[in-house]
This record gives sequence, structure tokens and C-alpha cells, in this order.
Amino acid sequence: MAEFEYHVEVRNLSTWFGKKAILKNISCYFEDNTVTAIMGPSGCGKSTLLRSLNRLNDLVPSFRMEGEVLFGGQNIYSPGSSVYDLRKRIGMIFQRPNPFPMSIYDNIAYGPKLHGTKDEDELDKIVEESLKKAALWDEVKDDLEKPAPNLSGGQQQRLCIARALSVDPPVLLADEPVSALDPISAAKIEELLIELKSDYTVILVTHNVQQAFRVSDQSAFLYLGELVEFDKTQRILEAPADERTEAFITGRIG
Amino acid sequence: MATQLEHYLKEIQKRLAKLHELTGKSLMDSMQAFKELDQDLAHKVKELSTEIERLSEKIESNVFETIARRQPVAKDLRKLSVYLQISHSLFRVGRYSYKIAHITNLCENKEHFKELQSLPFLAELAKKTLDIAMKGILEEDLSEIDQLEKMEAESDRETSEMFEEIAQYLRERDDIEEMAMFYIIVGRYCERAADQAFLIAEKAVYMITGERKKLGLAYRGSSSQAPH
Repeated sequence: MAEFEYHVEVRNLSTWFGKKAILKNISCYFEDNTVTAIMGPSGCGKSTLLRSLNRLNDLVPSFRMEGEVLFGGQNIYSPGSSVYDLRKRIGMIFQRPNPFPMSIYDNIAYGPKLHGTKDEDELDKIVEESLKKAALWDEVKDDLEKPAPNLSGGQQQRLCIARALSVDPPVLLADEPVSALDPISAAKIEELLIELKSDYTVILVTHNVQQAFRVSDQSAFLYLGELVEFDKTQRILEAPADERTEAFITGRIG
Repeated sequence: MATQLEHYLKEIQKRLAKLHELTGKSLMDSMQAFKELDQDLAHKVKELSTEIERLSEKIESNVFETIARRQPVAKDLRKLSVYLQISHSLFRVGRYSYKIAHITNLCENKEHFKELQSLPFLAELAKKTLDIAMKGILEEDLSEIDQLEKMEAESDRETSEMFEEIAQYLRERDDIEEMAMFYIIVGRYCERAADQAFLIAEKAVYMITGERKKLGLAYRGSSSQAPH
């Protein structure tokens, strides 16, 4: 295996909030151009693991970690590593859509502008491409100047995906991205995540086992901060190796 | 408290147990009918075949409904996949019984030219194989699976001897061709029934362990080279 073959690799990661241990010595890698689902019961550490991948946990004062998270072969927690650059390369979608209180166009153009794109034609192109990738262009192309918060919940979430894609990150993190949406909007987002893997690496946190199996190529099962199983989704849904995984995915623990 | 999925699985298991019971009875009755050339029993086997087919279709429908409604995974999913496949295997055994019964009908007003020993023995072996395989499915008990290869070897040996014996009869007599052909065909149906039982045993291993494993002498290159 080439040392830097994977965009994201976790090595012996342990984390704490204050004295409470959250993640316990986790090692795994996320293959390029795949969707990985991280699942597990509430409080197992799945969101903490996801947020460790783009240093969002740094915002919590009591957060402490050991181990490494490699992105393109570089430890994102090494001294001198730029969080600003990191978040341009690893986008994030949250549980609830959070459009900025501005127009649809400005929501998408905000990131590229922040990273130095000034040319209006270039910005127009980015906005269109991002909205197309997020399967939203056809629905909003005539309303780009309208306020983004006026969109439906599902459209807002796809807008947030488009906003994340506007700076062209190779990796997209999604923290329960459809749990606040109606079933039809959720299905659209799921389809979108599958389509996006041709250009991006998608890492998804979900408590919905069926959703994990619908969209992911590989799955991680966390239990009490321990990475119990990480394997091809096909393998896990058919014959999980660990009885705790079996109990969780069959609904016998949760 | 049992979940809805567990309830669904248990209901299908009950139907599979019934299907197994009917299929085993059908196979043994068909052989009894052929041995005795008992037309009444042959007709009853044919009637039973219809019941077997309906039950197999019912199980298929139950499996589809359970998958659609409960979205099972892991062992539950393996169970349903296996239930679907073995209900078809049991149906096939039922069809072989039907065909043996049909041959019995074709033998009306005919007589056996020898006392039947090998064919009832082959049917008995197929039934035993089926029972061991279904014990794996219904009780999740694989403790007797190792016996299957021994039974397969016995079946191969018996079939070879029967083939030789019939060939010898044909060399000596010229009025038995049709009945001799029936013996060969019925023997073939018994062997196919045992093949289906082997498939069921393999599925039982997969259902319980998650590992796909081939059972039988053929997969180890040590099966008989007899022409059956």
C-alpha cells in the first residue's frame, strides 16, 4: 500500500472531552471516491470521529486528542498545519441545513470569494457547476438572487452541499445530513451522495442503518468509542464479523 | 418481546417445517408406490405435489413481504435468502416425487422383473440427507453435516451397483427394456433429490456461519466416476 494513497487516514486516534474518553485508539482509512458510513448508537463517538477529520473539535476548549489524522499524507494536527486550508479541502454538511442569510448566488460564491476568486465570470461558472453537482440548478437557476432561507428544507440542504462543493474539496463530511428532512428530500440527498463519490470522497455519519447500507461502499461501526468493525458495506450487511455489529444492525441494541 | 421481524421469521420457519414434512412424505410415498406399483398411492403423491407447490409459493411470498416490510440485514437477511432458495429446493424434491408417481402410473398392468432394493435404499438415503440438511435450517444444528459425505459415497456405490445389475439383466433378458429404463430414471430422481438436500445443507452452513462452503465429494474431486 502506497503511504499516501488515501486522502484521509486515521491512526491510533483517541480523544477526550475533559476527562471523558470518547474515541479509543481508532485506526482506519477512507478510500478515495467512496462513500463511507460511520454508524453506531447515540453517544458512541461517531460525530466526534467525523469532526476530528477537519478539526472541528478544536473549537471545544476541553477537547484533547492523541494519534494522527492524515490528509494527503500530512498529519492535520501537526504544528503549523493550517485549519483554514484544511477546511477548504475537507467540506462539511451538517444535520440541519444552515444557509447564510443572503441570496442563493451569494451562498455559493461566498467560499470562492473568501479564497480569493474575484472574477465574476469565474464565480458565475462556479455557482452554476456547484448547483448542478448538487442537483439543484434546474430548480433555482431563475431565482439565484432570491434569499436562500426561502428554499424548502431539502433544497436548503442541497444548497449547503453546493456551497461545500464550491471550493472543490476532495473530501466531503456529512453529519446526519438528512435526519431533519422529509423522506423525499432525504432520498434526493442520498442519491446525490452516491453520485458525488465519482468526484469526491464522502464520509457520512448516520444513525440510520438502512441509510448507511443504501449509500455507502464501506461502513464503520463504533460502539462505546471503539471501532468495532470497518469493512465493505456488502460484507457487513450480509455477515458482520462482530456480534456487537450484528446486534446493532439488526436492531437488537441501539 | 419478540420483534415483528422475529415473528415473520418464525412463521416462515413453521411453513418450511411443514414443507419439509410434506416433501419427505411425498418422496417416501412415491417410492413405496413405485415399489408396490400402487396406483392409489401414486395418485395421492400427485395430489400432495399440488399442496407442496402452493406452500412453496406461499413461503416465497412471505419472504418477499418480510424483506420489503422489515428490511432485514446480517443473519436475518441470510435466513430469508436461504428460506427462499430452500423452499424452491424442497419444491424440486416434490416434483421428483411427482415424476416417480407418474412413472408408477405408466407401469399400470406391468410387473417388476426383480425385487426392488436399491431404489428404496436410495430414496431412504435422500430422505436422510434431507432431514440432516433441514435440521441445520430449522434448528440451526450442523452437528450431523459431516455424515453427508459418507451418505453420498453410499449413494454413489449403490447407484453404480444398481446400474451394473440392470445392465446384466438387460444382457440376459429382452422383455424388460421399458421397466429397466424406469429403474434408471427413478434412480436418477432419487439422486437429484439428494443433490437438492446437499444444496440445502450448504445453505444451512451459510445461513448460520455467513461462510459459503461447498459440501460433497464432487467438490473435493473424489466422487464416483459412474455414469449417473
